[in-house]
Amino acid sequence: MKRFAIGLACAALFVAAAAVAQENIATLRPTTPLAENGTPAPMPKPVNSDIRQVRNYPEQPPLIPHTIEGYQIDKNSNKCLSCHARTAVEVSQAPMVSITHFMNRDNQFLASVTPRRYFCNQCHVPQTDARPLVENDFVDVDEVLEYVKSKEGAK
Amino acid sequence: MNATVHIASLLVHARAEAISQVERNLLAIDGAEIAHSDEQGRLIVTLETANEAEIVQALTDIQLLTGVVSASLVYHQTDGAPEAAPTSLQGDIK
Amino acid sequence: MSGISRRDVIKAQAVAAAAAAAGLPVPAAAQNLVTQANLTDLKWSKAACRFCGTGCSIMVATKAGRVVATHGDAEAEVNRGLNCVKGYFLSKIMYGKDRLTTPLLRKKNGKFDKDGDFEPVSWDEAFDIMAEKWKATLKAKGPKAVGMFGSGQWTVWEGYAASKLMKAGFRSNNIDPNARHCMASAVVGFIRAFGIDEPMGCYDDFENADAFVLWGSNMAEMHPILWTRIADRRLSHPHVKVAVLSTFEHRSFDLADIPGVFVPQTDLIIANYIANHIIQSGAVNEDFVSKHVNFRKGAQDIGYGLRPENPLEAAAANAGSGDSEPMTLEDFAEFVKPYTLDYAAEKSGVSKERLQQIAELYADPDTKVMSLWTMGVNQHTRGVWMNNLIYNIHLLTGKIAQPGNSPFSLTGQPSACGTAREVGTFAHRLPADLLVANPEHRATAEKIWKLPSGTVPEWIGAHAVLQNRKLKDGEINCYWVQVNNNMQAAPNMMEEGLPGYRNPENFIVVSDAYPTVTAEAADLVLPTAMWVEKEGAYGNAERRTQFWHQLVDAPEGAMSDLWQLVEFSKRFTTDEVWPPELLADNPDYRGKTLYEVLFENGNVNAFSNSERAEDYANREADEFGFYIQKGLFEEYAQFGRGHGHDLADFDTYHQVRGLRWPVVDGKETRWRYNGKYDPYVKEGAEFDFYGKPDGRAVAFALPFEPPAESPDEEYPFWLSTGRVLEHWHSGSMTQRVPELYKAVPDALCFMHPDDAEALGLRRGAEVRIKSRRGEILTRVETRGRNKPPKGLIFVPWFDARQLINKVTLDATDPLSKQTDFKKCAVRVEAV
Repeated sequence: MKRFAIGLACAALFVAAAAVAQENIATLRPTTPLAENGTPAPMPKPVNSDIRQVRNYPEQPPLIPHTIEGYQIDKNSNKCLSCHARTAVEVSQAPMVSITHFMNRDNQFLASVTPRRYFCNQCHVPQTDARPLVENDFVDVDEVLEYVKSKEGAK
Repeated sequence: MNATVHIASLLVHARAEAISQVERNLLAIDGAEIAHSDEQGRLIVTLETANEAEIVQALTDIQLLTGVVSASLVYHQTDGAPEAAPTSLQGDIK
Repeated sequence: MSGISRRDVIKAQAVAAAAAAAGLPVPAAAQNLVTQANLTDLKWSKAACRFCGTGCSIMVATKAGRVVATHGDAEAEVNRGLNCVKGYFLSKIMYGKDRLTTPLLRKKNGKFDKDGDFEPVSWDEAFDIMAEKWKATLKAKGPKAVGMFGSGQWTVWEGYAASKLMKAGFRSNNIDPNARHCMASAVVGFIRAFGIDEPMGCYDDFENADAFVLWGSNMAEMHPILWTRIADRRLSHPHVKVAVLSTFEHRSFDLADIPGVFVPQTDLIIANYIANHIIQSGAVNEDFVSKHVNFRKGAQDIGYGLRPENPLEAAAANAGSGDSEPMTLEDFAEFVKPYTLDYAAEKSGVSKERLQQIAELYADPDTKVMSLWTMGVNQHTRGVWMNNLIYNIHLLTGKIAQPGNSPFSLTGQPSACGTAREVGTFAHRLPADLLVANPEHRATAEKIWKLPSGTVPEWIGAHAVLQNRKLKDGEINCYWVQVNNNMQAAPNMMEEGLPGYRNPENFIVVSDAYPTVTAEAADLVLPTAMWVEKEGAYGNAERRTQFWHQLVDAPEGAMSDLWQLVEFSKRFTTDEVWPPELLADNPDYRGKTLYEVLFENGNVNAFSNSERAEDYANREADEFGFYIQKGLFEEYAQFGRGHGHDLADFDTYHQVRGLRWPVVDGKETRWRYNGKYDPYVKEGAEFDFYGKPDGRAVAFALPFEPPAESPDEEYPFWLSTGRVLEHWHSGSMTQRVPELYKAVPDALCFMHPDDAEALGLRRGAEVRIKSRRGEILTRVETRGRNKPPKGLIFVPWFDARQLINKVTLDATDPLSKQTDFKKCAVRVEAV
């Protein structure tokens, strides 16, 4: 099997967080000592731009680009489907739920969205404007492919 | 690329003795290609369609083909134009 | 990429996904494309999800040494292609920018110093100082002064290697997993009622039940994929009913036909009322009860697992007692008689109508009922009792061990069952339900391990909460924490946890992938490989054991827990750590390293690297020169085979999507104790609770007793803590995934709008939550997904900036030693 050493550009950024001596290493906290409490960040605002985000990979459920505050999703009603159902999208111009959502546990298609996918927010979540505390070095497959190609080309 | 294309892959189980007939009938379906078939009657079929409804239709057609035991969707992705203009959503989903 | 369109690439990927789902080789057509473009040959492999106890199977795509995509495994029975939002983002959990890649040691002037700052050191230097500290401590104070805190997130062989190193190598039973915080009450409940740990039923019950009763569990957020199975069943079968009991309203209520918000601790009353209702209404399954059930009356007034000098402990008549005496069904009926509908409604705050509806679900012989519970029942100062009370209901009605009739204890962690419980990494256990206090059990372990008789000590080690107390008291001085974030997770951080770690007498080592709160409290931090950076195995809540291969390499410098444990064992010889008497009787073991006696024992090193799968790396096997995971697993499996805990052979698990033990003649067991399904049931019997000598399960008469701390004038609110859907435990992985972080960035104080108004607080206002032990600052949420009743607040514990366990109380169930994280008294003040 072909194995490439991780040489992706961003991997170089793995500069150890502790290259110099330090007391507070817990990066998800500000420098507040463990025994003390910092002022909590203000409550972040929900993102409500309706601008769709690029998925990290095709299998990732899309994020919800709008607020869902006050949405009713219970056994009686599902507010999400009022726009995203197959029959609703002409009016709403919202994306239709993926057709995978019509398949039951045995991979057979149903006439409507399968009950196992009924609670949308188990997989789809809205976003807030909070700034991540730590960056993530996940590399999109397209960039990985570019890297592979560049390696191949260099041979 | 202007038009959106929906690409899907299906796993089809057919009765082994009916495999060649199933293959012929599959190929008659618009946008369907057979990527793999084996003597146990397992087929991997790809679909290239203009919208989701056509995938569902094709899948239903395949399930109804003589000799097909089951057909299930494994993968679905769209490619091409943006799925819908975001601006058209303003005011709809709040 | 001339001649290859993006569309071809997608299509090839679609084909590869279908091939992976069907277990077929990637077809030639797609392969041609691959060779041509060398682009799309994503390698898809299976793995178990890194998060909760559900045990979803995941397909992981790798390319050029990176995980590039993950999705739910369509072939897996557990999740059939689905993941929750956390699972869908597994691809990103290993790629937080602050991955640890070098050991960090607190130093001043070039030397270890407890008050120094963290400086990078080599692995050699790290192990040098560790070994020096361990040796000095063992010499001065003996094995009781060293300890280890592990996890239900250890892989099976990591937990097994750790247990061996501690119990047989250092001869210390001071090893406990964080599953103690999570599952201990369930374990004791099982052992008391059935004599064998873990559920008799399985997830197939979801598709067979007519009613689901959630006891203090919020499955919609905590076990989302199992919740999809309940939603599927409920919404496609109109006769199905869902009852949800909790101390506050949450997302699971969205599916509830019968919702019930009860006053904390009154679940004990509700369960006894239901038993009473069953008896009074003539719904006892007398045939089943007469053949399969014994009744016993349990000891009462058993205390709260606090320090012995605590007035509550001193006042308890039978502190810590799990004693019981036999009684008849008639005595039992008499015992539960006071738990009337009126009494239960008055005390619990749940309406009579709803209580009766729930009781009827159980009483109706034609309704198959699945009861489900996790932390609401287990993190409870009467958690063992609550487990027993739920079994009582199922035993009285005979609704047990059949498809759809299932008292089902869910697990929190991915391998709480597989590692913590089955391997027995608890302070009192050995593999396959064996106990350190039992001389025959120790002899069994020593025989399998090829160690001298008397190697494994008989004393019960310190459990999780006791370990923190002993650290504070200076009784445990060398302490190693792996795969968990216990400074953030353990109760009463300010009075017990932090003083223990920072006690100048102690040397604390923390192995983690990321610099956590616990790492910051340590003296030495070891950078650790995680999840698919190593070959692993987990066991889920339905007894399903699942394997995965190493799919990518860990960042340079990070090493797996397994490597750390085994490599560290090379630094000790038996002469240094075993008593002279033991060696005098067994001179063959003299002068050997612990590595030689524990891991080069002919079992663990029995399989050569040629037996490995060709297309997967295996760092540990390369390092040690043999297929160590297989050797550890096969040695471990000897404990359970033929004893009701049979595991399949190692290689099988790499092929299948998990198997549910006992696996006998290659077949898994779905319903234990049921003659139709379980090969261990004695010939001809319909049911056989063979964990008990007489084959009968035990129903326990146990009363309501008050919680350790209740709200009063000074601290007027109940505090319940817990998780949220988007974050796993302390957030050390999920808070580093931007999408999950941005979905739920901060912990909040969920409270009733009327309570907020009475305190003059608006949504978003900063507040101080204060108990008798500590305080935190947070913000008020009155409109969120959790809707507490008046007088109760809920604060999740995932947020490293808001350590709610500074506030919680370290009261435990006196029998299981599991902390009650759901009940203590606090005050909320505007800041």
